[in-house]
Amino acid sequence: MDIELECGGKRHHLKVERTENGYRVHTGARSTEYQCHLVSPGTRVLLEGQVPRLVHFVKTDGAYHVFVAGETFLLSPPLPSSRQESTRQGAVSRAGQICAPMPGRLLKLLAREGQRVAPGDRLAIVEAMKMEHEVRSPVAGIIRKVNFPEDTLVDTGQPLVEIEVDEAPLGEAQPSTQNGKSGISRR
Amino acid sequence: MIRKILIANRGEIAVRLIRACRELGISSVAVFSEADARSLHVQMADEAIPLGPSPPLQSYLDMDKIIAAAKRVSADAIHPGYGFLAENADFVRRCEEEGIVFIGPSSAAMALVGDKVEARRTVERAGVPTIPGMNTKSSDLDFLERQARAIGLPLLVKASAGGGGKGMRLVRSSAELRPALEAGIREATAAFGDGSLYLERYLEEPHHVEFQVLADHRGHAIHLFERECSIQRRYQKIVEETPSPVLSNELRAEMGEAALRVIKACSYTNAGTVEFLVDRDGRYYFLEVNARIQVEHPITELVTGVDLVRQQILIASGQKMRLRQGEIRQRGHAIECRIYAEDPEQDFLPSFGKILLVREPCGPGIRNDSGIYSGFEVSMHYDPLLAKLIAWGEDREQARLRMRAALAEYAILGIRTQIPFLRAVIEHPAFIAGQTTTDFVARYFPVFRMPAPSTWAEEAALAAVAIVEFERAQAPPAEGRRRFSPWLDLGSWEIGQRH
Repeated sequence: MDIELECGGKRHHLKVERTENGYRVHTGARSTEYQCHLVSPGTRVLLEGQVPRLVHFVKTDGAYHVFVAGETFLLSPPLPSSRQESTRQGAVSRAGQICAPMPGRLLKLLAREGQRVAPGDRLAIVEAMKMEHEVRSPVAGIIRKVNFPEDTLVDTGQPLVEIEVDEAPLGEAQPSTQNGKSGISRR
Repeated sequence: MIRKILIANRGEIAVRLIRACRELGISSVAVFSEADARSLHVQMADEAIPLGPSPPLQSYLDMDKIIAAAKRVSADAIHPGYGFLAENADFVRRCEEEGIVFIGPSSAAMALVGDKVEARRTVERAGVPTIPGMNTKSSDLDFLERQARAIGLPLLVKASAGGGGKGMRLVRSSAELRPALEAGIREATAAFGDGSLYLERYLEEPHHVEFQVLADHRGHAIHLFERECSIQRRYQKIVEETPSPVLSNELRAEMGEAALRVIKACSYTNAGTVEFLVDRDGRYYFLEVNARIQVEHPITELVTGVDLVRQQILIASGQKMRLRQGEIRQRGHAIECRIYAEDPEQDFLPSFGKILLVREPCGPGIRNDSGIYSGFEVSMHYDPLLAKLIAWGEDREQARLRMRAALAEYAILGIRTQIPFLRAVIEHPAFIAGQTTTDFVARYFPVFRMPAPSTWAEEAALAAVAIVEFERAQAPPAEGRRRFSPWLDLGSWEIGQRH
């Protein structure tokens, strides 16, 4: 059986077959045989030869949250291509959406419509868990739209401010990490 | 005699306090907001009283509701934990007026140590050195700006009413001053209901060293040595240890004496912490008194063998403290790591949502003070502290190695935590060498990048999911059985979880 999984932006093609004692999993050029023992519904021990690998996992919304040896992984089936295109279109339109980095209260709006901003400029302050988080512009451009009044409760990914970007499309801009406290999400 | 204690808090500390009550045969009463109805402290308490809406001002910070709840269940005492009302002198006064024992200092001592400026004057009179700073507090922006010029840069903006880093900001250039003051006032108002700020000179490369004290109502006070709490991010402590790697035995003894002088000068009772900064040359400066049980109290408990919460309750019930200074010894070494719901890949933004799975570490010398479980919903309304992992060892290196192993065992799925960052901190050569100055994080982790996952771990994760998907696809159709076994349709499931 062929299985496609995405992990950390990387796509993996896997092939699984039953063997006498367990399973053979092909990943790219490698092929490994495992015995798989059920510990509890969310826990398996994979035996790779004599070496046990304890794996905890939970499946939710079609994706697997997995824990192995101090590391966590989010494994999901690849995104349908239509969703990827819409993200790309946003970049092509050269309108940068600056989104809420987390759920919280929009405490202060520092950006006005029509205002020119430079990378690193403060656009808004979102408060959650009693701490304030500054949302800074990752790009240079002109503020076209401010979507919420102050004091609104906003959710992760909701576009707070829309910026008409000067040069590079937003899709190529990196989230700014100036002063180590800006938070910008473009998911 | 205390028979019933209302715990005016939530999360891991409420759980810790309930456990202490249970040991002492004291009945425990939890209070909870709407967001916390299914929280661990509610599950564990003997009684539980709803406080209403989730925002802290309408629940855990609402004095009227807390006092009314205490009276409703005839609680003899209130334990405030840390944060919320723990250092609110008005609340202590309300308790005193209502005849409810507040487990902490008197309202007068609380007001004194809570007023950073007044505390400073008192401490200076007791002959303990302090850091250059304002001799008043203010929320007047222009006045604060003038004061800032007089003190000089760099300086720290602090909330006069609080602790825990809320409202606190470092200002290095004059351009940063005004935004820092504005944000400080807002955060202080939101967190403590009092927007006044206090400014003081910022010392470069200091160590944050605090002394734990216990004082009963009969004038007997002891200290339980220090905690080194220099590893901080945005002024929040994240890793603490004891003994401090920087104190000589002479300095330790001298600072312990100074801490006791501070406590006596403030007529302070119950458990408290005297915070100092120690500079490069081994000079120490009084910072403030934390009039509460501290988040990091377990490391002192593991090294001295004294249960601080138990002592708090015994002292509050009027008992004479039996512990003598000469009996208190530091045995071995303890390290605490605070587990926060923060995403280290997204600049440590808070991470909310349902915890899908928790597997907690254990083993020799490991203590885990936690407020979470599989299925617990992390709310945006409260501090993102989920749990505290504490490791004890015969020496610092053994404690560190135990911590390293325990952090690697700690599985939390569904939300993000900064465990990967904690692992990087305790593996850092500067931490291993005990070079734990307060600028540790800024210096060694100006930007934190998640280490690439080990190949075999990623392969095992992929293989496990592939095998699980394969098993599912291969599962016999079993039409007849299916009707009677809805569990087959659920995929992997666990009690307390929703898919």
